[in-house]
Amino acid sequence: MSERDGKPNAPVTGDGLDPLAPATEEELAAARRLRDALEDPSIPSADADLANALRAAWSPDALAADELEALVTAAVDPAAQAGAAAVARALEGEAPATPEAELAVALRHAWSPATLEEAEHAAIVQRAVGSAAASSGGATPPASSAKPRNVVVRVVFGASATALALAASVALFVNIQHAESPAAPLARARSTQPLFDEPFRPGEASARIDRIALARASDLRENRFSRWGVKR
Amino acid sequence: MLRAVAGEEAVRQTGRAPAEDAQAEARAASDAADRELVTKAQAGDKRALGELLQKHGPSLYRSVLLPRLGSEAAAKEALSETYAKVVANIAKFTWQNVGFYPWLRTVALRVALDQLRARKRVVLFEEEDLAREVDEAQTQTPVEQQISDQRDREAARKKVEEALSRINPRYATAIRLRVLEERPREEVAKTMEVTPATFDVLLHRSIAALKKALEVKGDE
Repeated sequence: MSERDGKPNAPVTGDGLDPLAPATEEELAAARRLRDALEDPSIPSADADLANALRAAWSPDALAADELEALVTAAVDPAAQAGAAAVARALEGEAPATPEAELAVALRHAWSPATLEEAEHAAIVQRAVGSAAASSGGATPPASSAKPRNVVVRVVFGASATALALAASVALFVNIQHAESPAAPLARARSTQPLFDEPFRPGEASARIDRIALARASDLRENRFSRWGVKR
Repeated sequence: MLRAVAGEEAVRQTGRAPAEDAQAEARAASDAADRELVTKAQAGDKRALGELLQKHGPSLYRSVLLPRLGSEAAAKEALSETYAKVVANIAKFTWQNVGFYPWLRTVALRVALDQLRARKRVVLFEEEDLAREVDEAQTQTPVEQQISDQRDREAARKKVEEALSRINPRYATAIRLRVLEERPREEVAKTMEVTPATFDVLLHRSIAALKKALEVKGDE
């Protein structure tokens, strides 16, 4: 600076301030603000902005590769730009308009799922319970109580003890039939032969047992679902 | 001090802490109430059935359906279908000592699995995941509903973490901050030292990378 125009110590703007003069309180406070702003870019400071501008001019940082790519994409690929906007809008609450936006929303739901509003849940319950009532024409009679009622009728109109015993045995048979006839058929015990296409070599006994166990576990699972009435 | 001595005495006599006893009692009371409601529902009491669904539905939605299906509309549809199945099959339900919720959760998981099979788009949970969960549901659903919910939530978060581990760490950070932690767009852009507009593109690329990673895993 002092070499400017070949004239050492030529006066320039601000040179009126003696560099060696003791700092005032105001200057010390400004210096502290500048120091903090240079260390923390989030602190606003005109002095720091100037310092950063100087730094950028002196040794500019390279643009991060992904940021450069993003900028180029934004410029040359309007579809990607539109996709980015769709993701941003979906995250602000709008209905997802693209698969990427759907995925973003799905991630959020997996991470911190929202609760279902009480009124909305009550409406869903009402629809389910109400539709059951509509389809059965009122209160749904218990499945197991329908048959005994028939037995009672038979008892009332039956004349002899023999007829009563006969009716009871018929009712028992019907009830068993009813209990063992779920919506889906149950898997029955069967030969393991169809599980194997080719003979096992010596030493593969455990693999054979594993395959049988797997098939049996699958049968058991399916049977349980059938019994529970949750299998189609 | 007296309370501590009484607590120690309870542990000595029952082998459990008083808090555990209280929890067990609460669970027993809840199970007894559920059992009564189930009995009434099986006898055709619609109000009892409604009470059962009201009690367990919110957890089912939040811990089981929404994290796995990834969309509120899909989760509500699945909840509705689950209820329809429960209404149709409540007479077949046999009370076991594990309570009502594990059965309800199994029904819901099967409905969710059917929905996943019907939808042909990339989601976090795959058919195989849900099929495995359905298999495990009947034997491994904890009796305590809170524990079940907690495990379901942890499983969903683990799934998210696994997915994020398969993409570029900077992309994962963008998703974590904006999507998972729900921080404001401007704040995240600042944290990642880009402009908000650039961040939008960065986030879109992050999601696209994740989608590709999930598709690749699905094809394996």
